[in-house]
Amino acid sequence: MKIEKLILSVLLSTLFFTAKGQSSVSAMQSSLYTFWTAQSQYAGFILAEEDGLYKANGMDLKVIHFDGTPAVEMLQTGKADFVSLTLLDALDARLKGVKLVNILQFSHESSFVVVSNEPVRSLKDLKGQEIVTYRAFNTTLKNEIYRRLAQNVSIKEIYSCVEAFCTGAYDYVICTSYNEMYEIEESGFDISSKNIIHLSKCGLNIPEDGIYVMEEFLQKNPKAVDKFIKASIEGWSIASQDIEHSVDVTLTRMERENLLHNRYHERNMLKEMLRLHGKDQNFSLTQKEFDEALELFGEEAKGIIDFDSFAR
Amino acid sequence: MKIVNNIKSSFAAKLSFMLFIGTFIVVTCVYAINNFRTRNHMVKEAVKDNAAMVDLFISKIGKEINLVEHNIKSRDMLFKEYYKKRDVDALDAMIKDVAKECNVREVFYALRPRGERTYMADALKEPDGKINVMRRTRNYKYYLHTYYLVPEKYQKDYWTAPYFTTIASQRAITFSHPIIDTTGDMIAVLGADILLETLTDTLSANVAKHSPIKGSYLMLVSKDGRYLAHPDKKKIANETYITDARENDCPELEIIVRKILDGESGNCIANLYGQRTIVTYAQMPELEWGIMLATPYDTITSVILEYIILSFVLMFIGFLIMGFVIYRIIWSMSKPLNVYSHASARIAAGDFDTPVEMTFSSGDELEKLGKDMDDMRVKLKNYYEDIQISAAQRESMEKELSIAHDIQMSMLPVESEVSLSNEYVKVNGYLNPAKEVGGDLWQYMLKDGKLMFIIGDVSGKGVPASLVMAQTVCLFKAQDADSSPLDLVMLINSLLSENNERNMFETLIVGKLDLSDGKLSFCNAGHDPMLLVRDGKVEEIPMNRNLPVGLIEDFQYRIDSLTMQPGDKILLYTDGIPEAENEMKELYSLKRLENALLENCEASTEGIIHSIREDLHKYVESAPQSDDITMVCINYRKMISNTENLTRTIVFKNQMSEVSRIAEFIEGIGEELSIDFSVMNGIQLAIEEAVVNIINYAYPDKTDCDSSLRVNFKDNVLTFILTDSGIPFDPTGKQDPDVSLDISDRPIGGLGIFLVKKIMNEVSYEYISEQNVLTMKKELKTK
Amino acid sequence: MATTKIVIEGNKATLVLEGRLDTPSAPQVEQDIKPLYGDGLETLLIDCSAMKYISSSGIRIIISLYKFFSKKGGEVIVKGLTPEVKEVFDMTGLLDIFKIED
Repeated sequence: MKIEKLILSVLLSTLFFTAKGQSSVSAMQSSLYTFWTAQSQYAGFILAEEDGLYKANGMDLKVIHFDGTPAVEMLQTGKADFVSLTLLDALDARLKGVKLVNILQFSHESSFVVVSNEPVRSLKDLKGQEIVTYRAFNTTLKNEIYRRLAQNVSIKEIYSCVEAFCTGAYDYVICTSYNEMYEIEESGFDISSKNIIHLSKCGLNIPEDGIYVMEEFLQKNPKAVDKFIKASIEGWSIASQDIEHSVDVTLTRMERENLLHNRYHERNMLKEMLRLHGKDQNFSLTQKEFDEALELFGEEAKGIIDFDSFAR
Repeated sequence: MKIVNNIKSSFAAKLSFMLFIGTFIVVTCVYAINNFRTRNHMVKEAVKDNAAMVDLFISKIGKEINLVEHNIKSRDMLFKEYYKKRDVDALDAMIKDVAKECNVREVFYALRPRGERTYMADALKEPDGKINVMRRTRNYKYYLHTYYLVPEKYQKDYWTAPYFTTIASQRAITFSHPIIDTTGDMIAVLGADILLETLTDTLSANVAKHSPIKGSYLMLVSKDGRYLAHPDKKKIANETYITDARENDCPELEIIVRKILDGESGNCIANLYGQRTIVTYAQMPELEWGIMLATPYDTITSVILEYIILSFVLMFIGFLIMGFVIYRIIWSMSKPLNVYSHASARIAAGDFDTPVEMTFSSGDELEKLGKDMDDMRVKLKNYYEDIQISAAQRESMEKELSIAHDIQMSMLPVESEVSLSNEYVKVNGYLNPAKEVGGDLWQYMLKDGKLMFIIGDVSGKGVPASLVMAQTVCLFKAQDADSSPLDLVMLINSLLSENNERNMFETLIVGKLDLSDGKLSFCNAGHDPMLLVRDGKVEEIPMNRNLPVGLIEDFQYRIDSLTMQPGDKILLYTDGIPEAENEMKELYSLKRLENALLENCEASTEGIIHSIREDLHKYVESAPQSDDITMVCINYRKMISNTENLTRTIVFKNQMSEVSRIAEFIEGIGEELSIDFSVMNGIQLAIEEAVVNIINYAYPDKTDCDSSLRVNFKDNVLTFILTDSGIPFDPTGKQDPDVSLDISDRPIGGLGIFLVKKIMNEVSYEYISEQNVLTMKKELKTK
Repeated sequence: MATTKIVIEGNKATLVLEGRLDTPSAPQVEQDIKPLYGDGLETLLIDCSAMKYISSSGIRIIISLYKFFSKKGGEVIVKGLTPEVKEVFDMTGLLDIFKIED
């Protein structure tokens, strides 16, 4: 393992230097903005930056993290060239006229889970319940849940939904399986198959995180996008092969960003992210996924966005 | 090595070393047991102390918490009153007051939103103590925060989990109290923030300060499982007990904290972070926090170990000191042993005079030993002196014995001189003792014309033998001319046999030769036979051998006799001669003796003895003499004949001392003629009287005048002719004194001539050619 | 030579004469027996058993002793005369004078 690491780092550093040599002529400064703070959710990208994979591919890319500004806004204002967004958020923005394009999809499964104080089996068990979730929960998804439960449910977006759930103030929480679910567990709450519902298993399996650029940026910088995609895939590839290294890199980043962090949590998150990405290492959004997500937006949306213009 | 040798050689060091080791082992064992007990005790104490401290912390934090809760809750009524009046200023003043009164970061109230309208005011305490009231903007959606949501939902007081404040990124917890109006609706939340550090940091410091055992640490877990206090500062806030326990493989930690968060309290021993740890835990009732005070077992052990090492070192030093003190004590107590050792060496070297030093008085066995030793010295000294005295005594005794020996030897005739030589008989003897005091003897005497002789060999050597010898010689000498050799032998035998416990015996030949007729009678008591030299031949004289004397008291000895002819010689000898050995251990033998005698048969007696000695000496050479050697040779010259003439003359001065010389002269004549002692006595008296007469009166004025006495023996008549040239005096003419007169009438003088006349048969006086000639004749009776 | 020994017990004296009491030794003997010529002595015993010989000088000494003792009424006893000495005593008529003991 160590030797592999050594070889890898030697390899990477040679790549880095050669790339630097190339990029010194035509290096373009760019940035990736993640729609949440630094954590293993973005492990591949952080690692690609920290390990110099972007530079090795001739990119001067910085990964910047959520600072309160919505990701779409960052993209629209050009403050970031690349942003991470959930598929639903991205579609939402596209429907609102933001010309963004999916260039990379690293989630092929919905992470949403409902954690309950009481044993639950299906979404139907949530009827009449007040469910808390984090702030800025995707409206489309929320609406879809309302729709499915015939409006007989309340989903409340609050701060500290984990605390609210864990202190017993609320009995149900909708959250991600890679973050809040672990937080709940880490605060001492035992999660078993009896008190959790995966939306992915309830016909609401919408892929989530992907990387988006403005259509215009893509047309202007197709090579940069390619380089980005290549370097990012490499990053994720390394992260999947060397989880501890990836967690190390992420934790360092989080510490730098003054974020609460611990290895246990970040490791679990990375593993879950890799699970959500799927075993086949597919970094592209499929037509099927696109169609299923778009379905949630109603019939008229289908006419507005087509897969080919949305996903590269 | 040197130390080991020192310890080995010094009694004190050995004993104190043994004591040191022994005590050290015993005390170390006791100490080990005690330490084991101490450890258990310390564990119990640690648990107790930790429990006390946990209680203290809970009450400390509880006090802070209660203060905040009380201050907020007590404003409930007032808040409602102001709220009714819509008196914003009063409300501001109120939260300001609360902020002043308790140790909080801020006090706030948030009104229940009415549609889009929200209202929240904060009394924020600046670091410098100033309190500013500010109002939150509409963007601040307080109603989506738990501090508002939870009290609203449950209409209960609520303490939030710790969170980061937006200002200064400090961690804080918020207490919120719902204000419920009369209709039961919540109209507002009144609350306050407390900075976590004000609660936890002091606690951790307290632990470090007050825990009796270094290494104890505090862990605080908020109700959502996050660390509020932890020895590893990095874990604070970042980790929950679950992430920590699972990441660091500490399942017991998870179990304990779960118990705490379920409201349990107590203590246990758990494996935390790879250490056996005593954990005292409890839950804070208000905040539902878990508090754990952990003391690693090792730190207790290490404290004990430190304590053990310290006290062990102290103990060891103490033991060294004690060992040294013991050594000194024993050394000083056993000092006597050293002294005694030296003293005994001194005594062994023969110094009995220096007393054993007794400079100490311990009153114990050692002192007694010293006294005993000194007693021993004194006794040895006395004994030694006694020995010296007795040695001196023995020496003097030996000297006396040697004198005795000389005396005894003087009883025997001196070898070198011609023992006896007159015209009738000649005797020569030789005695050479092998040792200082010999057993051989010989002696002779001439009495009344009879030669008596003895030769003997006493068995054994030394003083007993010589005493017997002396006795024998004495007895021999006491004989008179009439006694028979047999009588003497019988006498010696009976005397020696009597009480003869030593079985002393002696061989003897006693002989008596009558010079008048050559008749030799002799008795042999087990002695070698005499040899006779006659007519140029040597022969052994046949005789009864008999038994040596001293063996059988009443043994009947037999006497032998032999008639010697003039010119005959007899040789007597002791067995020392034939049994003399040369270096080849070959005997000289009788045969050789006889040959030697034969070869020298014509020689004189001393010549014979000399020759035999020479021959013997030649034979023996350098071989040591093993026995006394004695030989006696007697030569019978001629018979004493009455018709023989004998004339002797002695010249004397007119001095009284001459009387003794004349007496000896007369005695010699008596011996020569074997005249009876009683007859001789009378002659002596008569001659003396006559001589004294001349000495006294013949030369009145002169002192150096010669007179002469001529003696002639013829026909049994002794004629004495006294001639002096003094004044003429006829003693015969003097009238005889009347001896019949009463003595008182008798004159004292005048007896001399009277006696001469009385003793002599004939006295006549003539004055011839100016000389007084007194002729006295004495007729000897024939036997 | 003659030797003398004198033992005095109360009024009784013993004179022991030894050896040859001849003329040469008489002066010394006379000197030696002087203590006998003192007061208080009544009886004199002369022991002659060891006296081998006596001459007229000796006789004179004995006679003078006798005279001294008989004058003051004392007694002189002569003891142990050898045959030879006894003969001299006989010849000089002393045997009749002295009280003789064997």
